[in-house]
Order: sequence, then structure tokens, then C-alpha cells
Amino acid sequence: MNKKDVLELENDQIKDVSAEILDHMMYPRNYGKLEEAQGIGMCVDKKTGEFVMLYINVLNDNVNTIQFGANACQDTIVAGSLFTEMVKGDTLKNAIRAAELMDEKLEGAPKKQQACSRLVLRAFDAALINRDNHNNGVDEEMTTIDLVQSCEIEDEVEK
Amino acid sequence: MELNNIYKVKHELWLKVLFASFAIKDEKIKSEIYEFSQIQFRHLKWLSNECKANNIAYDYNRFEIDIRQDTQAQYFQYLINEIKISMRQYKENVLFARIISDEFYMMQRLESLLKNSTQIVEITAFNKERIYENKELDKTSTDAFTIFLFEETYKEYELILVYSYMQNYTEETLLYNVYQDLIDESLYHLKCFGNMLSKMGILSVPRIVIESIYQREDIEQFLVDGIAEEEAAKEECRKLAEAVKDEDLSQFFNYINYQENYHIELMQKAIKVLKEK
Repeated sequence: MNKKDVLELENDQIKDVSAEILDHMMYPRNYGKLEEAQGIGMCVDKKTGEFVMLYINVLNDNVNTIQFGANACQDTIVAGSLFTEMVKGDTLKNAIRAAELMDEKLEGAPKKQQACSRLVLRAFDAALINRDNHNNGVDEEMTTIDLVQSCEIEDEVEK
Repeated sequence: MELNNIYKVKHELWLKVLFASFAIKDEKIKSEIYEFSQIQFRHLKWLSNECKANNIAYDYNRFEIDIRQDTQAQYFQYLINEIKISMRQYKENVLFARIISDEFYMMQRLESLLKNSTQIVEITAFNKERIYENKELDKTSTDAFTIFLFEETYKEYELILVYSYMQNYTEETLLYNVYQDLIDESLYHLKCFGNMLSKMGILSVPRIVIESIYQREDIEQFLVDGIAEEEAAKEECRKLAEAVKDEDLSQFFNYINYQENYHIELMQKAIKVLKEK
């Protein structure tokens, strides 16, 4: 599956359970804690308490290992599975660009979907900040970013 | 092997036995394997007590589990192998003697079932057909049903672990009993949803529950959030009961919906005890 397909899936997910999405629901990729990660990022939806933690290791400018864990809905799990699978093994530059593209594509998606996927994307941003901080000698266990638009608030708006 | 690592192996074994019971179609065998999973769950409880008594921290980290097998007989062999692997890690003491005694019997039964497996019984729990008991659900209902089952299967598994953890570390009898009721309710729901996933051909072991969900100081807040989640689950059940356009399934979702009221009552009871402390 190429990047374009993944971006399409991100927008279509859950409201229409395709074979691809079903497979990610049954077997989320890259799930679980990564010991000794160079960067650990967390994005929290303070309104709902949902969060994503993302762990990253970069080797020779490539995303060597990337894993995530979450206390969140199925949409977020699928988004995390798709995103980590897409960027794993790619260059860090491409991974950052892919996250930006996904963020742009989300503008057209339902508000709840935007919130679920952005939990993953912001956790990725936070993990990279945390990695940079470590490289600059800052002693920080992880970097946390609050989600700007809660999925709960947007649900209410959509109603 | 250290006790907390044995705990991890037993946690995985419990899930392997439990999800094998969901995958197996023969009702009599399914029931027997499910009972074995309940025994495994009790072993897990004894081990958590033992960890606490020895001041050993334990957690719910584990490897991802791929439960897929092609035939019923393969499951018998798979479980025998997994029990043997687990047994190799045990210590020599009274607790493990009791566990070994239970597991020897399980292996004897599985050996007997394997010996009598003269016909190939195929497993359909992973075929991804998403047809529930030959019911003709439209695409929207099937998708809604699918998402509901994945969300709730994980949720029940998570609740079992969280309440078990809280139960192990509480000194309050009333709280202990409330947690036990909640665990029993979630075990029942997990059984219902697991068997439904199997019938739909989309069975898989839920993802790992991460530490910050159960290793927390603010138990009261967890319960408050839990009540909100139960309310949301009630609404999901109500919507699904309306959406599936099938009498049997509607009745089931309404039944689950009303059971959530009891869970909310139990959680409110627990909050009251915590506030009075």
C-alpha cells in the first residue's frame, strides 16, 4: 500500500469497514511500549481523557522503530496502526512530510475523525520534540501535547 | 524465573485458553475450554496475591498473541504446548503445586480430545466473512456491529485487568467485593462479545493494556470516567439495537444496555466508599 492509499484510508476509516481497515482492527501494527526509545511523545484529549503515546527510534536519518500505545477509540487505533506502518523504515524527512500531508487531508474529514487521527499525529510531533530535547541534553521523560479540538466537543457541534 | 515474569506468561496463557474457547465451535468442548480459562484466570489472581505478599511489582505487559489455528485438533495441541511452556517456568512451592495439578488435568483432557479428533473440524473464527448466524444484516449494520464488538471486547478486557489490579491493592472489603462483581460482569460480557467475534469470523486477542491505565493513584477519577464510558456504551447499545433490524440481536443489545445500569450502580458504590475513607 502506498502513502496515497493510506491517506485515503485514514479519511474513510470506520464509517466504512474495508478489508484493509478490518485487518488493522484485528491486528494493530506496531502496538505497545518501545523500551529505550530516543523520543517519547504523548497527545492527550483533556476533555475525554483519551491519549496516544508514541515511541520513536531514528537510525541514520531513517525511522528505525516506531510504536504506539493508546487509551482511545477504535478510530485512533486504526489511525496509529496505519500511520506507524506507513512511516516505519522511511526517512525521517519523509515521515514528517507524510504527517503534514495527513494533517492537511484531515481538513475534509468529519470532526470526530480529525480528532482521533490528530491524537496520533500530535503524539508523533511530541516524540520528535522529545528526541530533540534529549539530543540537546534536556532531561525529560516524555513530551506531552494537548489536543486542541476534543472529539467530545466536536461531537456536540456536529449534533 | 521471577514471579512477575511468570505472571506475564500466565497472563498470556489465560488469553490463549480463553480465545481458543471462543474460536472452537463445538459447544460442549467450547464450554470445557472456557472453564479451563476461568481456572487460569483464578491462577492469575493467586499469582497477583503472591506478588503483593512478596512486594513484587507486576504489570500487564505481554507479547502480542496470534491465536489463529486452522482446525479444532490444532487448538488442542496448541494449548497442550502452551501449558507445557508455562509449566517450565514455575517455582517449587505449594502455590505452584496447586497450579500444576490443575494444568496436568487440563493437559490430560486436551490429550484425550486430541486422540478422539478423528474428523477434521475447521475453524471459521478468522475467515473475515462478517456474517452473524446467517442473519442478513445490511452493510451499515454489519460495520456498526463490527466496530462495536472490537471496541467492547477491548474495553471488557481492559476493565477486567484494571479492576483486578485495584482489587489486589485494596484493603477495603466492600471495595474488594464491588471490584469482584465488576470483574465477573466484564468476564461475562467478554465471553459474549468474544463468541460473537468468532461467529463473525473476526476473532482476535485485544491489544495490550498500557500501564498508565491501571497504575494510577486517582482511582476515584477512573471510576467517574468509567461511569461516563458506561453511559456512552449504553447509548451505543441503544443505537445498535435500533440499527441492526434483527429481533434477536436487538434483544441482546437491550439486555446489555440494562446491565450497564448495574455496573454504574456498582461504580457509584465504590466512589462512595472511596469518598468516605
